[in-house]
Amino acid sequence: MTHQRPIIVGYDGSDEARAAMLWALRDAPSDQPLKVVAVLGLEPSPIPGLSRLSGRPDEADRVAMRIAGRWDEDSRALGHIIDLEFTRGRPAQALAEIAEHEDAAMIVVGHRRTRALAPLRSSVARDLIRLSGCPVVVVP
Amino acid sequence: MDKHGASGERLVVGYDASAGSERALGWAIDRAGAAGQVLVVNGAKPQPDRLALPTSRRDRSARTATAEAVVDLAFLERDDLYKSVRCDSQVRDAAPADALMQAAEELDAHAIVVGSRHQGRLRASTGSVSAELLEHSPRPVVIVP
Repeated sequence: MTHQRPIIVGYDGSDEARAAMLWALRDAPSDQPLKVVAVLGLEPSPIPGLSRLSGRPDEADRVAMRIAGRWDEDSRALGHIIDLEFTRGRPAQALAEIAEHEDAAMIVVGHRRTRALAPLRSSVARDLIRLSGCPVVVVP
Repeated sequence: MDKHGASGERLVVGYDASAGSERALGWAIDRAGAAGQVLVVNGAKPQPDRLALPTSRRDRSARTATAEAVVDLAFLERDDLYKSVRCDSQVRDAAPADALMQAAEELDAHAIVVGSRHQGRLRASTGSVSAELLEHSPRPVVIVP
């Protein structure tokens, strides 16, 4: 058996993250390991309630609980039991670093399309393209 | 060895003969699998954010001819790869991002594959084509570094 390079999926509990997860599950070879990562970060999340995470630990815990709750629903609905891993940092940077460390085949993230003000919104996908050494799959 | 199921994947690749687009094409061919299909697409119009003078009809045919010549480069020195995957090319009279999205709809593509333009980490911005696709493509976009 040759080493299978893992696929890293960025997850934050949003609908777009679920779409990214679906893409990875459907289109990844079945023997390729998936690593699903939620980054508790300092940047806005597309979920309104999650958007103002400060560095305060109690707030980070609440966000982590909410993401974990959504992950429970999503992974059950998808019929796949995969562990969700948490890490801290800037989302794009953290995902790129994990991918590099794990020699990942690709990183899959969701992205909410916008009609206006796109350049003004921060975007994990956009930052990731700049930082990643492996292909980035951006799922709308 | 089809890693992705019997149907393979239909992938649209943005190609402008740059090193990034060569890598994107290589990735797509590898990914599509034996039963997959790769469509190499180039747009004949410049991206709207690039400086371009107003063009006459004559310019337009010259533009198209150039875009077609560029797309032909995709097929150079890749003979070995094309044995395993169906690969076609297409030039559209549209800006690259629009050309890719139109082609992806027609092909019902699984994803659009483009190269990233960054050179190391010095370059602050990503290519305008990938940025445009990110904001407007209803289909997944793969950016190959």
